[in-house]
Amino acid sequence: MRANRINIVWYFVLAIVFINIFFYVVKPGGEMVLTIVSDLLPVICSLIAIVALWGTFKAFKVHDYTRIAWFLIFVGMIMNFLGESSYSYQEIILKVDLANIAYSISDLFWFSSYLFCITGLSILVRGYFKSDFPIGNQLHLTMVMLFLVLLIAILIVVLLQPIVKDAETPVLDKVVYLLYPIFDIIQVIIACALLFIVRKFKGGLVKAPWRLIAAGFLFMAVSDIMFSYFSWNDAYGSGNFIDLGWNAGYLLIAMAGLYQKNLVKSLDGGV
Amino acid sequence: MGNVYANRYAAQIFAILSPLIGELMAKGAIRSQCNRLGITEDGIEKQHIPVLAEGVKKAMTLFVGSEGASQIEKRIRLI
Repeated sequence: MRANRINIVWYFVLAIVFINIFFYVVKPGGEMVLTIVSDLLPVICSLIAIVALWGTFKAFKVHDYTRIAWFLIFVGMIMNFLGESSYSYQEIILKVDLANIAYSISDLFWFSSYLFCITGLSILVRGYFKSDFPIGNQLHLTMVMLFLVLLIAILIVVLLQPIVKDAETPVLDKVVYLLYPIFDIIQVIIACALLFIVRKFKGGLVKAPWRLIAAGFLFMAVSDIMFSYFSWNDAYGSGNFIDLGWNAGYLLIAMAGLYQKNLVKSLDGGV
Repeated sequence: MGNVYANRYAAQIFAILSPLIGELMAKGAIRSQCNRLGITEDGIEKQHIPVLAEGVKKAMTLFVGSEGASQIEKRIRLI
């Protein structure tokens, strides 16, 4: 895919984000339309990520650990798509009030998605630390680690402790409520590790896919954490701006896949 | 991109790697491969190229897969 084609895809991505913001701000058609749009946009965005990542997977010819990592992220996006689709189906077609249910079939898909995506991303980070590329400034690494420890501490106090201490919520519901922020914290750590690594690749073609995939997962994890906080405090409703983070996350991951595919294709028979 | 190496082999490997991984990491990658061989960047000679190319291939697999990394290895071997 040439540079001008990838620019067109960027415009398409921006258009989706703009449509998303337009519906949240203007709310044409009222709450019903807003619910439908906020349910369907994540389905569309995760489908775009699947298509893009399938192209990335196919671009890798040899079944090595890099290809496996991207394949796992691709499967993770399929799980996200199934989660988003089943959530939309339940809310729009079956008219289930999902805000008052602790878990549904969608959660099973989303939990599976975490496992695939976190494993895929971990393979990439582990691959970097095992490669001969320099790790970089130890002081910067220590600062990032301290920041993450502080972030985890805050999240435990603000998000996890109230859930654990709540005496009214059944144990299984608590487990579901707790698993999301725990997986999100892991995802934030891995995304930060990727961002820490890619900042040193200034001017290199490998930077774009890694930076975009890290940003995508960071957007999704931050939205998830905010969702956990607001829904636990009964302050989340359909058409919330938090949704924008998930949609942008899916689209950034799709763009990461396109850049990675371009990079691999650019080396095909390029001697 | 300026000529950062007096050694022609180092300069050519740098020219191959820097568009892909940036100038900073290209220098870092060449340095770490040279360290493994117990030489400096200025001490690269023709006989070191196959081992350097193999080392670069292993490192680049992470970013471009085995096939892409093999293409980079071939480019370096042709120097």
